[in-house]
Amino acid sequence: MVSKMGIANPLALLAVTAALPFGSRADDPKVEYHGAGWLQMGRVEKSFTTEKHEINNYTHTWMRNAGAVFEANVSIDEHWDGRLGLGAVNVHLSRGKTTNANIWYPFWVPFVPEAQITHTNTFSENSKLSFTFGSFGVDYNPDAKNLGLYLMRGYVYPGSLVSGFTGPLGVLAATTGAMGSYRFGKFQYDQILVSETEDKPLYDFSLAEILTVRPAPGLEFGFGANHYRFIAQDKRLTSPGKDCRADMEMGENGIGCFEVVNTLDADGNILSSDTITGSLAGTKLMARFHVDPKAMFGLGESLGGGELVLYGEAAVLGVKNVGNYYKDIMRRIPVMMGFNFPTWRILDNLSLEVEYYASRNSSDNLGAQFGSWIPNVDPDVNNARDDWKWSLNIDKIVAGHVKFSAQVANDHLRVGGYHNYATGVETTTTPEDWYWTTKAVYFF
Amino acid sequence: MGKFFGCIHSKGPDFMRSGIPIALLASAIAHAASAKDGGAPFKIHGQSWLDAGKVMASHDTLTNDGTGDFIDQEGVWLQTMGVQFTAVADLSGNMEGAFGFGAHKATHSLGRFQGNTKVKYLAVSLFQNFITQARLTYFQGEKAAPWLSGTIGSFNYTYNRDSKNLGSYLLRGPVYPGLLMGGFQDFSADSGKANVMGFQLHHGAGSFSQDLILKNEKDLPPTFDWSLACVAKYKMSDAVEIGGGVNFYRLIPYNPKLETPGKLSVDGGRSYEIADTVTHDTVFFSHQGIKVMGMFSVELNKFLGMGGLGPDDLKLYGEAAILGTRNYGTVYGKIGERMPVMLGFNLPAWGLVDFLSVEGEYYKSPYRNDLANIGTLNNVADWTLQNPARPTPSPAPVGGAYPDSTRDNLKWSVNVEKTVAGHVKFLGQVANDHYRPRPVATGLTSSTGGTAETFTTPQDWYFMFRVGYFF
Repeated sequence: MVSKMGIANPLALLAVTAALPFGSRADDPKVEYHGAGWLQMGRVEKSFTTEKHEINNYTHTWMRNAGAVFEANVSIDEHWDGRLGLGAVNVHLSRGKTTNANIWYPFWVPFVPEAQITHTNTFSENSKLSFTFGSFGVDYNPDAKNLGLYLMRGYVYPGSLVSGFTGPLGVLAATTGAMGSYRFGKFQYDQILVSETEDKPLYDFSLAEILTVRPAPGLEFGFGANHYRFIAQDKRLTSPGKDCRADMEMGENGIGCFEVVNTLDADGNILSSDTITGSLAGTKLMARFHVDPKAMFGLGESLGGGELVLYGEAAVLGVKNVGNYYKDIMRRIPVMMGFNFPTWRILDNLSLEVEYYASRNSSDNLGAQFGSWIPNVDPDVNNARDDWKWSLNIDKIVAGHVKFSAQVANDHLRVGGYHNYATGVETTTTPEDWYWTTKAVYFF
Repeated sequence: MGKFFGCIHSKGPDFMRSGIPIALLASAIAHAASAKDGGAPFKIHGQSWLDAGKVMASHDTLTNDGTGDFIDQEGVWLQTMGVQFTAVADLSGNMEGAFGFGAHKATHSLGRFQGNTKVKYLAVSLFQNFITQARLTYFQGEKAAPWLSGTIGSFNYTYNRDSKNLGSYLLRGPVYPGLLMGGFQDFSADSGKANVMGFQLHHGAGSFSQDLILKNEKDLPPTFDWSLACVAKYKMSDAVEIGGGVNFYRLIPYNPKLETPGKLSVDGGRSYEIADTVTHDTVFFSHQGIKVMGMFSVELNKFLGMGGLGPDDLKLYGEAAILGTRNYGTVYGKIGERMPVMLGFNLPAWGLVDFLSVEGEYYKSPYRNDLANIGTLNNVADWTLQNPARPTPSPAPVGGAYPDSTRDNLKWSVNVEKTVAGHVKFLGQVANDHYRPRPVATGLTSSTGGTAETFTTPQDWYFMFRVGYFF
């Protein structure tokens, strides 16, 4: 299995890394500082599913956060450069639980948006090789405003999707690990070794490979594979076997270690039982496109750079069928398309993104956070009602340093639980559900 | 003024509160800076790092709840990262101020608790912030080597710059019980981070230098106590340096009842001992005590005149200490059991790496090197705080039969470091040292452990790597 997943590739990266020019030296690095401060505020207007849960009803829940971030871009010499940052954000536990409002409290949470070091060898104007270590954002689909980016976000089994705003400086949620990038002409190849630091079990290694092709001006294609959790920190956690005991190894929030499929006779009696084991590990595939008619046909010089761009992304979340929950690959393929409407530079962005994902499994990822590759089952929820998602996004930059953003969406927002009650349920799970949020950012 | 610095909640004299030095420092920097048109010139320094490694063997890590519950650390992957910025300002020709802050990732230990693994799913992973420095320094003479200087605030003071992992006993860890501290890139041994809150007076005269340190206890309970330490160093020749020091640990207690608890009831251990069952003579333990330290450093390459060696190659160095000069009770009856000794040697690397060092340590203490009776400084999140007992100046566990803790007497550490392009660092360490894993999470709002060492037998070891850069 390992050989199929390209174990030779990280070894190749290591070999090239060992050949880095250790002898070079720069005494006075050039440092460029950036910063941002923001206030984000919005409200869940309708959350049909959570309305049925007495303990966590998110309808008409306000959401708010404020923060600041400070970053430095460091150029050490012609080969080495780094980026590092510090920030703090004021967040609240979700207000869905109204009967215990006394334990609804705010936090100032420090965070590190980036902590990376990159070594680059430039061979020619269109050819360079770089290696990055640390904590960095992987933005293989810069068009995506909210939906998409399936390759690097979320679990495979269960295939729960993730969405959300990017950071105030355009930085995505950081990936920790190492990345090798090779750009040659119209091609770019990225190989990313990811150490899992967000979704549990922690510290599993995933290996993602992304090929980007720019065959003509205004036209771009991307293809990728993510061998998700191909090296497990603890194999038993990532791939629980038949002897797994959910109560001891997962706790009360685990859904189960394996699936039991019973064969019944006509009267409903069990004839035989089959135990199906699975894993949180799996392989994701991704393809995307970007079409800019302005660049292709020389249109619309009065339009902004991103306007009229049509883009899309599709993925397979797990190429292997497993048990009853993952028996149909077509229900593991999310597809999104987006379009940037023309605004004639009045706005910096006015985009609409739409997504279709025919999964019949619950989007609640709490079970996976406790090791279950089996999806959560809630008989009160119709999982066919959340197939369509959409997001309308607007951005406007004023005076070069002030950015106003707004989003109206039915997406994969998870506002979390309260105090000592955890939940991974999505807030908008029916076509009637939606929320809005706004953000004002000052940046330099 | 206290209200503005959030330090009015504690009992005791105001001058012992840690907020006061910071307040004085802040106002002094503000005053000095405002005296100049256009503000003081300053320079920002930054640092970023990613650490990863694995515990390869660990035999018995216990919790600190007194039940002897078992945490299995074997095979656990360790990972963290962090960023920090520090601004250093020239406030005048003989005054310098510095302040900075950072954040690093803290994660509950992924060990097994009582044989089950569900704690790994309860683990919280978040960033903790810290102050790199908040100091004001006045100096006379050259700034790099002043003949006299005084520093107040939060600052770094590392008297043994040869030590890579083990050693630095004088200012790390408690006296009674004499527990040792350390681990890969331990904050208290990192010259880029403040490890002293208080005051330092430095005097240098040619080959001789001495430092007086007044240190406020900010890490280990009972906090806010003041310790007074003095370190003197003498460079006997170009290649040989010797040094010594004394630390009157917790000389000025914030609360004497916490310092010497007497017969106050405690949960985790006893703070007294019946020394004579006939006369009922009672010995009361105290957190107070006196540490004494001696150290040396010999640069053999300067004797041998070997070419091609790096500046730190072939350096032999060592440190020994007495953790508590006073014998009392049966627990602290033998001074020989309170004397850690460390020796280190930088192997020849011929410039291929900055250093490749081997350090070994012997410490004959029969007790577990466990902070359980003192308190936990290893918590990940406020809401997973444990409920520690009153800080008790006795080893853990005390009373009854002590567990066999002589198998952890020998410690060792192999360290390698390579700087590339002047600002990029690669570090590696293989060791059996005093690393204490963070607690394991036992619920959404509870955790246990975090005080005991991971490595307690000669077979235990781990490795760590770091890639980072600084400017």
